This record gives sequence, C-alpha cells and structure tokens, in this order.
Amino acid sequence: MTVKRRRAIGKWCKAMLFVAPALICYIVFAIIPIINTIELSFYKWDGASPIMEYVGLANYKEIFANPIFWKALSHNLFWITFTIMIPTIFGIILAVMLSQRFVRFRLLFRVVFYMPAIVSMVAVSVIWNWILNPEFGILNRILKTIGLGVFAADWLGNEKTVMFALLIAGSWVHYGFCMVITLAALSGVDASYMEVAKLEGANPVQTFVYVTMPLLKNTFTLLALNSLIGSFKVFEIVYMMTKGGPYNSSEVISTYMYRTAFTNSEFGLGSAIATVLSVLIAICSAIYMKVSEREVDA
Amino acid sequence: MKKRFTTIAALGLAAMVSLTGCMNSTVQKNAEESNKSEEAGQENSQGSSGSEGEGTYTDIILWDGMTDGDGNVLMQELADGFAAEHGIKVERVVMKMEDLRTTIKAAINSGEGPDVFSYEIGAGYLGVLAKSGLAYDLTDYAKDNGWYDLFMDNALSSCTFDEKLYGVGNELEALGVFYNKSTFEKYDLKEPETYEEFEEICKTLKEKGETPIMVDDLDQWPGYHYESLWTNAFAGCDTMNDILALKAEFNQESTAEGLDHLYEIVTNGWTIDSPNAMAHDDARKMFMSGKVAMYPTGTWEVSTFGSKEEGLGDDCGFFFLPAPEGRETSGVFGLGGSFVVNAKSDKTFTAIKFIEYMFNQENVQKWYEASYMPATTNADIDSYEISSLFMDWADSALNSPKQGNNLDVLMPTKVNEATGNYIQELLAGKKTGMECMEDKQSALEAETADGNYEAIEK
Repeated sequence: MTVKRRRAIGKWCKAMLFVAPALICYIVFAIIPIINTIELSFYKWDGASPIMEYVGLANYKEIFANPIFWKALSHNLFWITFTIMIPTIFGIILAVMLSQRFVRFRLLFRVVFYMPAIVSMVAVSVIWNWILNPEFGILNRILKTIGLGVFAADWLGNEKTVMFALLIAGSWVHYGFCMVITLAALSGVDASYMEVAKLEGANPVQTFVYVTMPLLKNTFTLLALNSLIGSFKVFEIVYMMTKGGPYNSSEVISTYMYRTAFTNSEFGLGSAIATVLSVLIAICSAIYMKVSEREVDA
Repeated sequence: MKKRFTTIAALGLAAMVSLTGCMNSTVQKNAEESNKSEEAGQENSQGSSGSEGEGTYTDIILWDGMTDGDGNVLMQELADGFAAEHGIKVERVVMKMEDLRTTIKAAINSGEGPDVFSYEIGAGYLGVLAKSGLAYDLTDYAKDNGWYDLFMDNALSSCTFDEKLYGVGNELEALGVFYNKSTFEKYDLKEPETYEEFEEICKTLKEKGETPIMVDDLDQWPGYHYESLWTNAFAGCDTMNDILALKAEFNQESTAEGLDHLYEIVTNGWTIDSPNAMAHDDARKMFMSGKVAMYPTGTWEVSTFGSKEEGLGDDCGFFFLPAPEGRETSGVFGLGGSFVVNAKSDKTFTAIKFIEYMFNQENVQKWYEASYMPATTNADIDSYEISSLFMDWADSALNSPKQGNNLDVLMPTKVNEATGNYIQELLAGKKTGMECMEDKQSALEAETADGNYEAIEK
C-alpha cells in the first residue's frame, strides 16, 4: 500500500470518526424504520399478533380504492396551496414593515409576532377551538358585535368552513417563522443596491419589487419548500381540533394514516399510507427543486 | 446530474424520515420475536402464577387510564395500599386511554410493558390482545379463587374470548341524562317517565328561553353514546340484544326512528345551533355552569358533575332516557374498562393479586366513595358515604328492569369509525336514521366476515 493511499485511508477514517455518531443515529432512527415501514406495507398485521400475513400490493390497492384517501389527499393539496401562500406572504409583509427604520418598538413587535411560532400545537388547537366555538367563541361574537352576524358560522362543524378555519389556525403558527427568516435575509441585503435604485429614481415599491425581491429569491424558495413539506405532514392541528371531521371533511393523509394504524389496528395498511405519502412528498420536492434550479439558471 | 440526483434522493429520504418515523421498526421486529416467544407465552398462560413463584410478591408496573379527579386519587390509593401491604413497589403510569391503546401492543411486545393495565373491553380491543397472546389467561385462577362469585356476570363475560377469561371488568357505567335540578324546579318540571314527557320538558325549557339539552359531537365519540341511548330507548333492550347476537339487523324501523328523534332535537332547536362544532370539554363546562339544562352522557361524569366545587353538587340529577309511551325503558349499561395482566410479564402472580386486592370488601367501599360502581357483588352500599348524585344513578340502575347495552364498547373499531361519521352526518341533516343504520349494518357485516366480531349472547 502506498503512503498516499495509506494517508487517504487514514483521512477517511478520521472523517468517519466524526460522522459516525450522527450516521449511526440516522441509520437506527431513520433508515431502518423507513425500510421496515415499507416492508410492513406488504403485510396485514394488527400490531399485536405474532403472525403477519403477506398480502403483496393489496394494502396499496385498498388505499387507492378508498374514497377517503382521495378526499384526504385533496385536503392536503388545499392545505399546501394556502399554507405556502398565506403565512409566507404575511410573514414577508410583516418583515418588510418591521425592517423600516421609522417603525417604533420594532423589537417588541418582532417578539409579539413571533410568539405563536413557539406555542405548542396542542395549545394552539385549544386556543383556536375556543376562538371558533359556536356558542361562546370570540370570532362569532366579534362578527355579531360589528353587525356582521350573518358571517358567524359553526366553523369547525360545517364541511364548507372547516378547512378554512383550520387553515387560519395553522397559518397563525407559521407566519412568525416566515417573518424571522425574511428579516434575517433582509438584513443581509447589501444597502448599496437600494442606494443605486434610489439614485435611479425608483420609488420604495419599485425598489422592493425589482431589487429586494429578486435578492430574496432563495429565501422565498426556502420558505415555500419548508411550507410544502410541512403541509404534507400536517397532523396535530387537524387531529386536535376536528379529528378529521365532520364526516371526513377535514381528513388529511396523516390523520387517515394515524387512525388506520393506531385506532383500527391496521398497521400494514397504515404503513402503506405512510409510504404513499412519503413518495408524494419526494415527488413534490423534486419537482419544486427542479423548477427553482431552472429559474436560478435562467 | 449526480448532484441533482443526490439532492432529490436526500429530499425523498428526508420526507420519508419525517413521515414514517412513527412506524417504529421495533413493531415488526417484535412481532417476529413474539412469534418465537409465543410458545413461552402460551406456557405462561397455562400456569397460574407465572415465573415468580407462588406467594412471592414483587415490584410491579401498573398502567391505567384514570387521569382525572377522584378516579386518579382512588387508583393511587389502591396502588399505594397494595404496595404497603406487601412491602413492594407499585409503579403507576397514568395516561389517557387513547394513548394507552396506541402504545400497549408495542410495549408488551418489546418486553417493556406493564405487568397489569387497564384496557377497553370488546372484541375490537381486549379481544385483539387475547387473540395475539398478549393478555394473560385468567380462567383457571378465576375458577379456583371464586372470581365468578365475586364479579358480576358481565364483568367477566365481556372479557371472555374463546371461553377463556383475559381480564375483569372494572366498574359499571351507564348512559343517561344528567339534569340541572334548579332549572327543573324553576319551571316545575319532573324527571320524565316517557319519551313524550321528555319532549315536553325540552319544549317547555325552550319556550322559557333555556337551552334544554346539550348535544356535542366535535369529538365524534359522544355520538356513539347518543346512538346507544336513542336506539335503546326506541328499539328496546331485547331488540338491541338480538342485534348484538346477530339475530337481527341494525337497519330496522325502531332503531332508525330513535336516530330520527335524536335529529329532531336539533331541528326543534332544543340544543345548541352547531352540535358538530362543540367540543366535549366545552360542552361539559356549559352544563356545569348552568347554561344548559340537560346533558346526555355517561356516569363516569358523576364525580365531576356532582362535585360541589367544580360541578353542580346536589343540584345535579340523573335519569335514564325514557322509552316512548307503551314501550319499556331500560338503562344503557356498559363497563368502563377492564384490568388485564400482561401475558409476557414474569410477575403475573403479583399482578393478579393486585387485581384481587382492588376489589376486596374494604376497597370496594373506596370505589363507591369515589363515585365509581365496581362490577362486583361484595358491596354494602347502605353503609357507604356516597354523594346524592351517585345515589340517584345507583337508584336508577337498581330499579332498571332491564339492562341495555352501550354499543361502542362492544363493536369493532371500524364500526365505531363509521358511527362517528354518520352521527355527525345525521346531526347535520345529511343522512336519515335509516341511512345511518344501513351504514352501521354494512360495517358490522364486513367486520363479522373478517372475524373481528362474534355474536354476543346476553
């Protein structure tokens, strides 16, 4: 073995020494469970029995034949569409406003606006359940007080309003994160670009649209991607607030998966749903990355 | 290209990590391991005291679902009492029943489970554990130690699968209507004896500007109980027993009529505007604060509703939902759950003795005084200090000529899932009573065909 090769191996071993702890954790807690979940999706198993019956693709066939799956998937897509837009746009607007020098008590506002992001989802669900309560919820009361009682609704009990109600609660948690990330990105923008734009006669809106926004493109990509993946995973808020009801009107894939596996004790079917969901996320992420890469190249 | 592939692969992997982590690998592995240890488990089930030896008390772990109020205090007292009596430790882990249900199988399979635990009865719950060899077979011990005399028939029959006993029912519960006595007295109303009288009460209260009755179903499970109450009141206990014994079907006129009357409560404006949007906890608070006159739910609420600090105290009354004129009223009863011994535990002797201890003469009194009615025959109620509300429900129970069934604890989970959905649809006016009952019958037939439900003979 040459000295060069020995050195290379030594270098590799050293590198592996540092990587090993994280790698082992990743293999034990991520890779193996993933492989097991995929394997489990080909079995019929109640989670308790020592016998697991191999059923091939039957679990997948059952999923695709079940209208609740498609309903849940459509709710996920709805959720994705709006949770990418609402918190991101709201977060950006707040960040731009709070980055202006003329705004007083900026730190206080930043803290206040960010606070929902650190509240646990369970607490958020309880708070929004109260806000949206049909009998004593503050939202309906405000609407009635200001003469808009016609818009008061049983937000969580009506199939037409339930997804919007959940969406508002879900967005409320997320916009603070978007705001902080955008604020950080804004602080990194070179001030000379703004000065040049100003010298060229651009007004503040033009400066934001034509100078700031393109510079923040990577930040927007990060926020959107984060929202995209997070949206597919949406679970706690739906489960805590409606359990997917009324009559599956707010069912999302993760609540469907949870109920299938842990309530109905169909672990094989639940694993198949998890696998399908994972593939969907991977496809969405890949498409998104490809599109954004193309835009960067252009 | 390679970089792009790596990025995509990493993304995919990250997505799968985020989504599949909950499907713990140990689950499958444990299933395989349990396959190997099945023989050992069966061997264990044949014996009477496990590997610790007859008469040897050891530290045990107890998981139970008594998370609130007096029930929590009672269980702690029982655990501490047993530990002190035998000089051992009883490590108690308290969690909501839903959490217990989702973790127990993996816990037992991994060898990390409790020695004794509370669990829901019925084929879809305890039946699954029994079939899988995770619940200890108590048949021989029960026969040899007089359990068939100590416990009420249904406390044992509900935990019996393939003629083997896998647990004991813990406490008797009933579904009925709690009411605010002050509101009733204010309008000179009395407990109804027929459904028509019940409707009259609702009508009167509505006219007086009160909200007569709470119907909440955001959480879905209260819907199971509404169904049991109204179908039992209209179809009667015998018909419901025939359905459970698979001698009759759910989709018949009388059961559908019951559900249609439940919906009439909504259309007549006798309840809140949006039952499907009201959470159970909020509904309880509304009842306890006197904003609603009646609340149909289970007697597990007796200690809370009858509490002077938190609930209505002596102002709270209870009656069974009456049947229509000319039909027989029967209460809707069920067991709160069961105590089960882990078949893979090596401390089964102590675990069984702990169950026995909880229901001895002295401790049965503690159950009553905490407003729970243990499913045993050794109680001397007259000598106990019990609340007026508890006495009210105990009276109703003792005077009930027949005992109807709380359906959800006897039905497989998939049937309950269907129920959760169609009761919400019923309350929203999307389905009729008959359509709901047809859904239930289809779900039950499918589960019966899959072997997840067997006829229950009463």
